[in-house]
Amino acid sequence: MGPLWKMVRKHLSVGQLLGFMLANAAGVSIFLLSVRFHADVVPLLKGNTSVTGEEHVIITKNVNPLKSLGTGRGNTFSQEEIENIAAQDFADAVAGFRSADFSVYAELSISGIGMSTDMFLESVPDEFVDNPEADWNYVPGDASVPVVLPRNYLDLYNFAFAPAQNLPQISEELAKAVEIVLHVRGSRSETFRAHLSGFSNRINTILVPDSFLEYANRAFGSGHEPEPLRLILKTHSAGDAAFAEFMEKHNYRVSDGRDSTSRAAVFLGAAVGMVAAVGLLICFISMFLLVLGTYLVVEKNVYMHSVLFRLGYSPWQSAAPYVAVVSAANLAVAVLALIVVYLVRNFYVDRLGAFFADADLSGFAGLYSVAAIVCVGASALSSVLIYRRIAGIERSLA
Amino acid sequence: MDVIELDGLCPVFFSAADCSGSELWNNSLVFRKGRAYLVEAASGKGKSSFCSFVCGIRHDYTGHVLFDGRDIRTFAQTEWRDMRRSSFGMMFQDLELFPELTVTENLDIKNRLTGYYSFSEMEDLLCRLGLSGKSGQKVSTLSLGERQRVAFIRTLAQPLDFLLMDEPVSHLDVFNAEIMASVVAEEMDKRGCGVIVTSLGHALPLEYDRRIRL
Repeated sequence: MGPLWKMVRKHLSVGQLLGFMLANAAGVSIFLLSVRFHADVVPLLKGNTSVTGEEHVIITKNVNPLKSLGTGRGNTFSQEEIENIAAQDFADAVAGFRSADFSVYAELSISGIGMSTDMFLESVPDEFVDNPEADWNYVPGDASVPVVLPRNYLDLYNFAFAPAQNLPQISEELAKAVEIVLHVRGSRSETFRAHLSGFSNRINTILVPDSFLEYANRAFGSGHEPEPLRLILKTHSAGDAAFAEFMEKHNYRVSDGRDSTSRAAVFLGAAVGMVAAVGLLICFISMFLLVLGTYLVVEKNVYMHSVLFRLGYSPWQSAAPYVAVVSAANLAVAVLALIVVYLVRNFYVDRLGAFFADADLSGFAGLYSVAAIVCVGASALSSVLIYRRIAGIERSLA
Repeated sequence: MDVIELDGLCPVFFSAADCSGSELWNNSLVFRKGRAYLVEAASGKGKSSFCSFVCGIRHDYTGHVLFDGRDIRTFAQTEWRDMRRSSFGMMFQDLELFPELTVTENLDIKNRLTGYYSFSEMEDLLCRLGLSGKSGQKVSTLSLGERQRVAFIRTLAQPLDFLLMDEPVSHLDVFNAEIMASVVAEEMDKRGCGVIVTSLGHALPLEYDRRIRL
């Protein structure tokens, strides 16, 4: 410890310094937590929106009360309608859901426990399936048909049905071990083995490879491929006014929840932004309080600075002990804030993890960069202010 | 730096009568490297003002101070900083020590800037000037004479072309003043530096090349 530091330390108030650090740690914690919370939660609310802004939405026709009295296929999309949607600027790609033109009866069993049910099957072109497994294909003669279920089904079971019936919860891996037998009845009957290939957030149906339904409709169906009831649309502009206008004009309905979650994401973003701004404000105020406190110490050391100046010290050399204290305090604040954020984040990730089973909440690395930027930024700004004050004293002595 | 010139130098607060009879004020004067000068005057004649003008910490004067032909008013702060570290040493009348620091720390605060002396060299100088055993003592507990010797050693802890000493032995007895003078003479021989000493009457006992009446 040099003699310069010894003289500066004499006028430093430890209580004042700790007070600043606590206030600043609170501000930095609020700011970092806002940043992290935003990064964690908003993508979850946006659901199937990828980082590129690409979004998949499901389009249906609004169910007409009169049509609902008829058969279940009154709201199909004609080829003309599909082509019209595909021609719009907002449409990157569009395709209809292919439905099974035959009836399906499924038997499911796991560890000797079985159940059976009537079932429906649908397919979409492979490019619309989110994260298809390597086995996502069917060639006649294959031993097993891959099936994708909506992740909601598993959530519904795990978080509603299983607790109510006192049944064990099922993980995705365990669910994939379920043995499925599909009894197909149409123009003729056949039995297929099937397996659960994965879960989808994007498509709310029991999905099989398009190649399977194409084959099965041809083999077991009536020979007339039904028109699709639902369309899947890949778009970059689902939030645009033109998109909403088009859908309203044609009385189309866009997949449930997309609008409300987008709005929720926007409102949450705004709310988190305001909280982050308050955090930053607290940071700035506490930083300036520290700088003002340092100014007072500098004033008490005017004699020391004037002598150092006459001995040949530069303002940066004279300011070094203050800069060291301020930088160390900012570093301690950043570390403290990161610990706080880590603890609080663990608390909410436990809860979010249950609601958003597919959420990637593992990352923390980006926050280190933000904390480093806050720490270095505050230290640099404080150092420049302290330097200017000391240089000012020296100028007045010259 | 080889030459310090004074050209018509006079404090702004001095009248013509204050300057009359002075060999320094309102005159042309040259101090050369390697030579020793004594500036003598009674109290109130402006010795400390002269020192402050020459070392660039006061500018309330008329006329010019020139270092190697260049007016010191044109020096940037960085130039002064370099000079105070590597060519121009000043021992102030009020010593400008840090009373809360020890003797060693006071010396170290200059020496760590210049790296001029080793620890043992500083200890040798302290010993030679009668301060052995005082290195760990706070300056506030030293006598004025002891402080004067500490300030003297601190002034030496850098490369020197000129050494300006404002009443350096005002609190020293004859014995210690002679030791200080012998150190100054050795440093002049070794470094070839010029020395300007001011005195009220009890001067540093050195062989001066010129005595100047202020």
